[in-house]
Amino acid sequence: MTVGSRAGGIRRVLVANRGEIAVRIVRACRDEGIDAVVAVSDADRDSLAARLATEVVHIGPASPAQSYLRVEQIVAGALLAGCDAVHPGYGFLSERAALADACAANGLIFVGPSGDTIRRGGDKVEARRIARAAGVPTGAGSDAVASAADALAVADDVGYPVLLKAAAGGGGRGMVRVDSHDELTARFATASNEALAAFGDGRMYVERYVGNARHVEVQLLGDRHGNIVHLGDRDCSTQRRFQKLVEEAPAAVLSDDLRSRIAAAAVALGRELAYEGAGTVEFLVDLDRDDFSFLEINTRVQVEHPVTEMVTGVDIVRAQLRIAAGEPLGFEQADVTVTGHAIECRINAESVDDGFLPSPGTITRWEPPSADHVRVDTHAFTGYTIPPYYDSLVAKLIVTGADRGEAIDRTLAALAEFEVDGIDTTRDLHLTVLAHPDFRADRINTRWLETTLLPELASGPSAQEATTRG
Amino acid sequence: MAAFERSDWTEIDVRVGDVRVHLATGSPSHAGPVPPASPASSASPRPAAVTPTAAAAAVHEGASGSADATAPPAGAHVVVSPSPGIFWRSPEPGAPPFADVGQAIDAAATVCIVEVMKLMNHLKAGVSGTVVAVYGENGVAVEKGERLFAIVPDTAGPTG
Repeated sequence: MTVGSRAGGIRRVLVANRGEIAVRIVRACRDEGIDAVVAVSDADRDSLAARLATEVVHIGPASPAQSYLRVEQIVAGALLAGCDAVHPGYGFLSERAALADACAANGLIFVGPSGDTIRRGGDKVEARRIARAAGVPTGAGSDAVASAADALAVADDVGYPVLLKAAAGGGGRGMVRVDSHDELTARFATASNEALAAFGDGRMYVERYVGNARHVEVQLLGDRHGNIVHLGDRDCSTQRRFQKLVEEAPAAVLSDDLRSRIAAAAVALGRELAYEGAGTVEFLVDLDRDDFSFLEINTRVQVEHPVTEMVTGVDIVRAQLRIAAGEPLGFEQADVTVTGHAIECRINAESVDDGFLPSPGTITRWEPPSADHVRVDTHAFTGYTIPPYYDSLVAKLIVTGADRGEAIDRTLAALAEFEVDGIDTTRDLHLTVLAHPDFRADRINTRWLETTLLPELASGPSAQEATTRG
Repeated sequence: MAAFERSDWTEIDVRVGDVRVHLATGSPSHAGPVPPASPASSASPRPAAVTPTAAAAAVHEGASGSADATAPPAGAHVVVSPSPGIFWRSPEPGAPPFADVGQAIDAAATVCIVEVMKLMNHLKAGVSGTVVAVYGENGVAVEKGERLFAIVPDTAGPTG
């Protein structure tokens, strides 16, 4: 299914990002018949995205603070290269209202929601308020608390443990688990000061800590004509330090009732924001209570968007371009069907055995798997040197199956074929995860990787051997 | 050009193909020979400034040359980057630097962060003494082995 007609209102897009997502956006532009100009730092002049691009704009030194994070460089690059739109990808400036505002001020189309929507969605306390207004459960917890006394009043009421979170945080940053009244008393000031230093905003809020939790999110698409649909859900519970490692669509653990309630909540929130573009509403699902609560809204394309594409047939990045060009979605909720199951493994340049230490360097051998049901989104190739200045994601392996069991089997086979030399990667960890009986039985939660799998790996190579080869 | 004049941006430096455009308000922060671009009537790229290779010369060289004017003083302890990455002098933007020239520092104190793929690697002084040189610029990419600080130890060399 394709969204609307071609993104005819856009002629030439500046891709304000790098790595695999820049490649992904260049290809979507090509499919739409749009020129793609890629913004590159010194470190990315020879990147795959640069090679595939219509043209390249150099925006500064390798350090992101001097290139990919500079709004004025991005906007000037877009104007000088004759672009009429800017696609921010994920990370970097994608959720900075300042870029959306600067694009609007300079007659450029920002491929994403308005600066105002980004601001409202990005402020966690405001987002919780909007969620409540839309009738979306926000879980036991507070609005912003200004003092330790206020936080204690809420936490004592909710019950410990709680999560103390920064209002301006998100993506796993700026949160701390607190197990008791005394600990909260002791830690509030430090956490608030750290939030002030890191985000320029010391406001905190309190949430009940859910021990047996799943991370479930819903993909939204909204256009400027008032249409909002969801593309089903994803389960991203396999995480380490709040960073996702494996993502799946759909979230097989949900009952039909819970699935439809979560989707309805996401759409309601999208309507409340008059959401325009692709966005994701993240929820915490409490398995013990068969209930869910709102976590945050991401006003951009997600890393894990391909799993949704593979089970719905909707090209989310092309949809972003068409929506930004003013096209209507061109389909309704009833037209969206979820078929089969998709799994994504994030292949990161990290040494798992060495505490997940980053492993930049030159790839001397790059042989990704290929098959009908296998998709690899990557910017890597043999001879490519992964620079140390950016994140460690080198490829996303996406595999589909008729059901979750088949998808797991095929993912294991694809991982086993995936040969990379020259750098360390998370490939073997994924083999262990997907072969684990807990994963296959879907008996995991957001802490499973850290509290079960990694301790098992550390306890002996024989256990690891048994699960990877067994 | 018009966008720059309307904005509160202080500097832009963008290259498309062989064309480089550099605009700045006030005194230029780049040391390189970048003639200011003159106002132009059209938005089309035009040959404005220097070749793409000129500005790349700002990359720091290793401490190999004998005629190195910034060589650390004899006996100084040199803190080098253990890996390629980004050199951060402060714990967060806007905060005072961990260590500055003239400052007395403890061996266990953090002198900087080298960020590698979002991992923040805190480097220690290694010796107790006085910081006599800071080589890297905040937020700039550094190479493995590139020197970052020179520290003269409190007890320089064997005393007895």
